[in-house]
Amino acid sequence: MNSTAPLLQVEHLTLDYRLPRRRLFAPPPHHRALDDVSLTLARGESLAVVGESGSGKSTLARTVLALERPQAGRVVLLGRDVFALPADELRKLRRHAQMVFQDPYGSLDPRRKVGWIVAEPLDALEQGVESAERRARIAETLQSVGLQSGDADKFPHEFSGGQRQRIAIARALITRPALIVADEAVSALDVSVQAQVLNLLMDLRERLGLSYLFISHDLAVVRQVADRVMVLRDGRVVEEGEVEGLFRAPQHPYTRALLAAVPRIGVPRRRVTAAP
Amino acid sequence: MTLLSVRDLCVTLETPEGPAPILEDVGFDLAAGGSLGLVGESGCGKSMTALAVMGLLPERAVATGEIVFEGCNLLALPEGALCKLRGRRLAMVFQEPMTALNPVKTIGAQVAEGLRWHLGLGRGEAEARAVKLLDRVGVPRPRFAPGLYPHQLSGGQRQRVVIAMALACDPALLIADEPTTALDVTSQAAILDLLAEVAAEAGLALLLITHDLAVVWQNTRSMIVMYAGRVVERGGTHEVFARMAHPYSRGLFAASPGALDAVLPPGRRLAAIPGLVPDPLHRPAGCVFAGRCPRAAADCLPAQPAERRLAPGHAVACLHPHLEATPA
Ligand SMILES: Nc1ncnc2c1ncn2[C@@H]1O[C@H](COP(=O)(O)OP(=O)(O)OP(=O)(O)O)[C@@H](O)[C@H]1O
Ligand code: SF4
Ligand SMILES: [Mg+2]
Repeated sequence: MNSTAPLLQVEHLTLDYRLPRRRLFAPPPHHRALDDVSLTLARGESLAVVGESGSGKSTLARTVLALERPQAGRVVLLGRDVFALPADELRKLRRHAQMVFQDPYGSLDPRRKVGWIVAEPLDALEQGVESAERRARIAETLQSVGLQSGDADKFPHEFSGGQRQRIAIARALITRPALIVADEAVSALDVSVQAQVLNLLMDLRERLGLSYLFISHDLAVVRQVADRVMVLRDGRVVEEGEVEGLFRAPQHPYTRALLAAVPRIGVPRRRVTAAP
Repeated sequence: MTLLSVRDLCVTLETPEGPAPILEDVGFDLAAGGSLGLVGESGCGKSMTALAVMGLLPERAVATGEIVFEGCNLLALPEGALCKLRGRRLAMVFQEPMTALNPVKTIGAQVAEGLRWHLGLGRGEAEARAVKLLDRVGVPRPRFAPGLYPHQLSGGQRQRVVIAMALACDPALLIADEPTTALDVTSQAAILDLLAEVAAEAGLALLLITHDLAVVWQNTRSMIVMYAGRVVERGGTHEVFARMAHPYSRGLFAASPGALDAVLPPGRRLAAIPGLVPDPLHRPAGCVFAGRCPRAAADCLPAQPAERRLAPGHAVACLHPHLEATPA
């Protein structure tokens, strides 16, 4: 493994979703969710992917984690082509890349205690972690996201929406990954908690050299956490650049429209042209 | 004219560990046609306040105080009478549109349902009205046939359908609990525009619950800030923003990524509020914010600070409020 190689390299990804067949003998129609998408992420770097719903952000996130298989293109994580790996190698590689999902309600199993939920990725990867060490890891991880170690014995429904999203983040951190793919991970949080979690993500990045692929529709948040930003529209990259440059001087009209839609304190609301 | 007046609202939830006070002495007024923003951290009771007004509290909850809507106390109303109000004079839009939509019914039928149930319209008339409402909220024919099902729509389009359902019977009050949190930025802006427009057209009052201060700033005339089940600051939206007198309001403001209009220099952090909201079973006797407050002093600990007026219509529940303007 070459340490100067990028952590993640995505080359010319194209992914079509098959839609239900309309006529029996016609080929089924498809929807191109990703269209020739490439990106590079260095160790310790944080790249934000922004765009409207349906633009392909989550598909990109899932493909990077090998949860979707593209029709064309490669995903190279830590020097290894994930779609060329045998299943058990891929399983081992997964500990290095974890995902935090968008939905703090749907992504936590309501019948499991928080400790079990948080430890699940660990249990899936490292069978036989000593139970004392396992408990310590759970406690440490819960504390690192601002929860209490005693919360391990509670159920998800005993937490508010914001607290549940921290549980989801703890779950992603427990395998000590190099890459976190965060799909709208802080979108559902209140600002003070959001700030805590964003600060936590920044701390973790400095302490552990974590990299983030940060999927978000919230441009104000993106500006705080990303080094670079990529704007997706209909599965294509319309603009990519260093965060400050992109915010100050967006080149593409679509990027300008996105930035104009962000609500800002002290700035009266501007009517947007309603596009259902 | 006051449309909704909430007084001394307390909600207690039975839990295995004992009764948990979820809301304590919550009070506010909302004028007919007015708009009130409700902000605060996760778990502070925003949704419970909304559910109390709608009469949709969980079964294990006990509410005391008064919720006076169009002159009658909803807390004293039998369920049957409340049912008639709900969806008719009182309407609500939730964060996740699918909680309000039936996945196996067409959008046209779902909008028509309320019209038939509450207004007693016949099928044909209800369906014709439904089509008009769907047009109005930006889900028009022929692109969006009333025969479509919710799963054939995007999140933003579904939320538009929910708004059409909420508007169907001409309500006086629309409660929107994080109506755009699940949506992307352009749909969010479009939905907020739509809410503002329909509220103005129909003269309905809007109770807007959000964690996004910028959304409150842009969309409401007055606001309350809630913390741990209590109202800690209230006033005209612009006045509250100009002062942010409660240390919690200020903390929220400082933590808003939108409040900073630039990239953080390396190593710098957002102004987070340390710690967590105390859970309802372990709230301190004194000021509920004391454990996280940078201005806390000995006098904050013995008792809950009473609300004090700073200016007409602007009040704060804090012994040492900020008196200087919010930093730019
Ligand atoms: N079904 C429930 N059982 C037990 N406690 C609950 C339940 N629902 C809510 N609570 C508790 O009630 C309090 C207020 O919750 P509420 O949902 O009103 O908060 P909120 O301000 O809307 O938060 P969010 O911003 O996360 O939606 C919280 O302490 C929460 O943990
Ligand atoms: S009363 Fe005291 S502890 Fe409470 S918010 Fe004011 S200064 Fe802080
Ligand atoms: Mg809520």
